[in-house]
Amino acid sequence: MNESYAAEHQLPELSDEERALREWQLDVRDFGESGQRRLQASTVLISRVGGLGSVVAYELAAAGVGRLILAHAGNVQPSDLNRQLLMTHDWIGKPRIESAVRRLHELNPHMQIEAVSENMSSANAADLVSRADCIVDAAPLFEERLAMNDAAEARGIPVVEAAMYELEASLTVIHPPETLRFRDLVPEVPPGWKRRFPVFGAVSGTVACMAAMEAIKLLAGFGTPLKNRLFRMDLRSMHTEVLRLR
Amino acid sequence: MTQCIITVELTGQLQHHLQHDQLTLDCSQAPTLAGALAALAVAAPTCVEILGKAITTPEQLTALPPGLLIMRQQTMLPRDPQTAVTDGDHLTLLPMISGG
Repeated sequence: MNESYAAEHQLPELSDEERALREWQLDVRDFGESGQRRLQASTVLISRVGGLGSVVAYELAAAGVGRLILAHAGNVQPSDLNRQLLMTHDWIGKPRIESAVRRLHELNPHMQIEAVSENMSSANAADLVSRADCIVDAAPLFEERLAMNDAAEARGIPVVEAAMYELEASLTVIHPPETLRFRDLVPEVPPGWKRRFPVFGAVSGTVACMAAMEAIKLLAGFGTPLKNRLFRMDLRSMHTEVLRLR
Repeated sequence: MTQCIITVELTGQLQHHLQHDQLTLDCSQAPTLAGALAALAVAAPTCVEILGKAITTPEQLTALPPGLLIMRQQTMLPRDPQTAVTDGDHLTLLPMISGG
């Protein structure tokens, strides 16, 4: 990261405490203090904090992202607890979003969190997306994903698309016109997709860490994000590949 | 008629639903993606749940099912059912998956 970028854009300086908290990552090549200042000045919208979004949010909190907008409706269910790591047994029956905020603030009390107790929809997508620098799509329903991607495309905001099924997972970055549109991959809600599907928390957690890293790269401006490429892994065989989308 | 035998690797919901990692299909009558999916539907009729409609002939497939990506040599093929396939092709069928 070019140190002059942070100065030019008047990004907030790091405090001594911030430097101490992040010192292990400040030495990462091409990231440095300027990259950290960019993270600290950034807002990430995460659509649902379930098996994927919980771990994405936790990693971004650890990395020192300044502000998260979390959108997730409903109360914690027993069946959430095999993968939704921001939910706890003592919170069953209480709002998921409150559990997420509580757990994230235990790790990073300085991070601003806007908690939205609704799922993404065509009614709220434009407003929520407009306040973010980057979005992580961790939602299960294609209706939510299409609405959010339409809003993100209209505002030119990159979306990290992470997904899992059984022992498989996939990851890509959507940022048209540099990349394909999400609707080029999914023109409409696919037939046969079910809200509940087989998965281990270790699978969603693995791809969630990678999604968080993609968001960090996009925000801090280093590395090579997965644009026009789809990373795919099958943890049953430990096969991984990167597929060309365009 | 030129022989066209292809292998399709199944992933995600298709693999889970059909309980197979891959299938060998004869597309000699219609060496296209439509022909391949019609052959898949004949070989494994229950995949109608994922494909969205019952297909028995290539002509019945006027568009690829939404959210189904098809890869050849690690590159996504155009979403045109008339895209040609050739004998010995290895295609990967990737139904889009989600978070949750």
